This record gives sequence, C-alpha cells and structure tokens, in this order.
Amino acid sequence: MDEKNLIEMKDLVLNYIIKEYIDEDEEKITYDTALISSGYVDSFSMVSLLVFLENKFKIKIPSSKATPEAFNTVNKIVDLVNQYIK
Amino acid sequence: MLFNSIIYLLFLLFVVITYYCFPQRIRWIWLLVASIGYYISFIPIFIALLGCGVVINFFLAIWLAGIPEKKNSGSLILIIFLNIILLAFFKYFNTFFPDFHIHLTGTGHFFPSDPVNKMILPLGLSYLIFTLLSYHIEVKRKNIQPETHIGYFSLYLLFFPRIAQGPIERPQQLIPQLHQIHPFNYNLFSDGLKQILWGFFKKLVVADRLAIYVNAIYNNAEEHNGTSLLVATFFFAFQIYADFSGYTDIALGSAKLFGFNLTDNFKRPYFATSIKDFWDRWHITLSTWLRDYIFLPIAYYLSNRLKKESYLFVSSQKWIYLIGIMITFTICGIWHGVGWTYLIWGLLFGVYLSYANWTKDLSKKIRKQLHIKKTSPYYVFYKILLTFILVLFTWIFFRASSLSQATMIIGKIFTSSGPVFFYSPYDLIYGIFGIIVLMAAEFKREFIPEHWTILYNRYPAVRIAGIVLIVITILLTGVFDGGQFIYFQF
Repeated sequence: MDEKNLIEMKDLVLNYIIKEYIDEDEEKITYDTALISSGYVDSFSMVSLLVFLENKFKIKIPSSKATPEAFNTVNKIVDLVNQYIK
Repeated sequence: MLFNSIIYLLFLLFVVITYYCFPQRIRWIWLLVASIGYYISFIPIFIALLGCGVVINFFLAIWLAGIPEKKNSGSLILIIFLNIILLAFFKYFNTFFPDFHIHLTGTGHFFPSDPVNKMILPLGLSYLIFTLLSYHIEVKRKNIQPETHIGYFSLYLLFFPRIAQGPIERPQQLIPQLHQIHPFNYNLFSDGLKQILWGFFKKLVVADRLAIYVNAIYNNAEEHNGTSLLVATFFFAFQIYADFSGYTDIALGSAKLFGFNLTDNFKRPYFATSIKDFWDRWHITLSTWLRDYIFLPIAYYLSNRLKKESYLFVSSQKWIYLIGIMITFTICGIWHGVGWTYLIWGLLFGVYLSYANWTKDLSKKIRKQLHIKKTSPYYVFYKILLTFILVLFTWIFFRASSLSQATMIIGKIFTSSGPVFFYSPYDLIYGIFGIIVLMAAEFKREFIPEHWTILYNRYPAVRIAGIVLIVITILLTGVFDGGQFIYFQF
C-alpha cells in the first residue's frame, strides 16, 4: 500500500473514532494516541469499531486478533487491517 | 502464613537473602521450593492437588499447541471444561450438598490445625484456574508458544506472592520474566519494600480497623438503625479496597524483591468518573480477563449473527453490549461465590454499564445543552461522587449474609435514622483517620503525582521521615489480630 492510501486509511479510522468516541472538549488525538489504555475508547465498546472496520474494508478479522492491545492506537489498528486486506 | 503476619516477613527475609546467595541460573528452583513451602504452610494436602493440576495442564497446553488453529476449538473447550469442573467441585460443593460431610479427622498430619468435615476451597484455586484458562486460550490463539520447561511453568502458576489472591497474570507478562536473569536491582528492591510497607498500612491501619465496626454492625444488622448501617456500608467500601489493594501491594512488593514485576490490580478506583472507569481501576487483572475471554468473544460472535442495523428500534450494537455485559457480570458475580447476593452484585454492575451505554448519546446531548465541559472540575467531582454512590450500593449485597438481609439493610437506610452506634470511639476515630490518610495519598497520586512526594522524594531525609512515620502509625493504630484477607475466600 502506498503512502497516500495509508494516510487516507489512517484518517478514515481517526475520523470515525473522533466522531463516535471523542468529545469536542477533549484534547486532540493523533495516530499514536493510546486510545484504550488512556480511556478515550471504552475497551468494552471496541466491538463497534471492529464491525466498522470489517464493513468498510470488506475484511474478516479473527476475534482472537482483535485485542485491546491491537486496537490501542490508530497506527496499530491500520496495521491490523492491512494484514487482512487482500 | 498470611501476608499480615510476622512469620511471613521472616519467611520473606529468609527467602530473599538465600535467593541472592544462589547462582542466578538456579534461583528459579529456590523460588519454586519457597513457593511450595509457602503453600504447604496453609493446608498441605492441597499441594498434591495443585501439583497434579500443574503437570496435567503443562502437557495439555503442549497437546493443544500441536493442533492447527482452525481445528483446536474443541480441544480448548475440553481443557476449559476440565479446569472449570475442578474449580466448581471445590467452590460450590457445600452449596449444592450442604448435608454431605466428608470425614478427614483421621488425617491429623495433613490438617494440623483444624480437622474439617466439609469441603474447603483450596487456597488460590480460583486464581490458579483463571490463570490457566488465560494460558490455554493464548496458546490456542497462537499468541504464545506453550512453555516447555515444567519448572518455569510450575513457578508461573505457584509463585508465592501471587498464589493466594492473584494478580491473575497473563502468560505474556510473567513467563518471559522467569526466563530472564534478575541481578540485584537496588531501585526495584527499595520500591518493593516501600510497597510492602504501604500494603501493611492499608491492611492493618485501614482495613482491619474498619472491619471491627463493619462486623459489629453487619453481624447484628437487625439491631441497628439506618444511619449506623449507612456508616458501616461506607466503611466497608474502604475496608474491602484497603484489604484487597493492601494484599496486592504486599504481593507486588514481595515480587519486586526478587526482581519480578507483577500486574497491579488497582488504580485509585474511588476516583473513577464512571462505572466503566471503575472497572478499569478495580481488580484490573480480573476485569481485563473477563473482558478479553468472556465479553469480547460473545460480542464478536453476536456481531457476526445480528446482521440487521437495529432490533425493536434499538441499534444491534446496543443489544450486543447489553447481552455481552450481562453475561460477563453474571459470571463475575458467580466467580465470587454462589448465592443471590453475589449474583445481584454482579448483575447490578451489568445494569449500570448497560444503562450508561444505552444512554450515552442522550447524556452527551444533555451535557451539550447545559454547556457543561467534560473536563470541568465540578462535573468531574459530580461524576466521581455519583460513581462512588452507585458502587457503595453494590457493596451492601457483597457484604450482606443473605438477600433478605441486604434488602432489610437497604430498607432501613432509607427509612430509619438515629444516632450512629459506637461502643468505642477509638475504632470510629482511627477508622476515619485511616480513610482520610489513604484517600489523601490517592488524591495526590491521581491529581498531582509530581508534587508532594514523600516516599520517593529526592531528599533522603524526607524519604526516611516518611517511612518512619508510616511505621509508627502502623504500630500505634494498626490492628494486629485482624485475620485473613477478604479475597482469600474467593
């Protein structure tokens, strides 16, 4: 995947997270912000993020790989998604 | 050999000194021997049970790892079933067969203190089984390779600082440390000693002092008015926290003396701003275990099955959350014990979390309408207070001896008032003193971690003065016959 597509994918994930989980009055998050361990994203709610990724990129991520650690930053999420994009 | 005993301190001192006398490559053997010795100091016969469990699970994991990932689900289910059966047998036997007595009075050398005539739960079995299940699940998912050294594997499960009450360590966290060499590390060692000291403060000064009042009220709840019951419930909230987190501090501190870092179970839970936040801070190794191995698999399974956007005008995501969280917290309640009180305690958290999830958008909208910033100190204070009150309500069920007693206590709290009961003002005063010191220390760590540091101050005189002050406080106000830790029974 080229750099441009990678950035687009990261922005797509980042915007979804901001829209769904982050309040306007909270500080800005980046690709490397710890989402789950810092409490921005409820670890119990990350299933909706998984469903979004699977539908958006038409992939199937095994539940065993969709761990809170793998979902902790936008960069990690994109890495995980890239493993399953054909 | 309870953590809050002199004999444990002597045991720890002896094991630590000899540990550093041995060559590094064989220190694990000494730790394993010490761990077995520690376990034998409770009820010796159960070490045989644990030993068999360790050996069988060692080979089961190697067998599981040899099966391809797509075909190993059935094998994992069999392994989980075997372990759960063992746990359920000991944990729930008395509940389901209250009249069945086994007579072990002839085995005097196995039960040197009290001959028993009913089933008792082997110490730490719940924690051991949960640790084993996480190990097998990680092996099944191919996230780790099974440990092929039975000595290290045994030490992973039996390591004495964590055998009795956890933390429930993930294999990725502890097993690699067992393979490493641990030369003496002064900073880690001194950190461990301070953590042990603070653990003793929590247990002896706070938990066991509050226990005197809580037991006096709850053991005769019918005789007391609502005000006293409310005060006792408030005290119990701090008793159970100081008891369990005190144990954890002693466990983590003890492990640090040998160069090991265990996972902390608590992160100032009474400063949580929501119930979800509370469970991110309370009994963390259990809550993350439940999240990763119960909630998320259920949620993933349902998200693949519920294909429609919504059901009964509610989004399928919200239904998935509700079902997953209610099952998870039912298991959380049952893990603590059989009985309606534990079940309702768990279910209450499930209801709280589901309510918060279902009304998330509404509360966001209300907050916007009222122009309340999420970071406003008043709003944060309100959220902390509300969360604490909700948690306080659940502790009534956790502490009450039966559901009828819990409902009676709740009824009295809301309907009858009067003067607060006390037979000795010292227990009340010392109890409140302990809570204030504990919460002041937690407040500092939560909101101003860089300032007012005492035990980690850059000036040695301040550090020493802090240590002396804590020791004197423990000696003057501690309770030294308080008995075992609350979570030993689970």
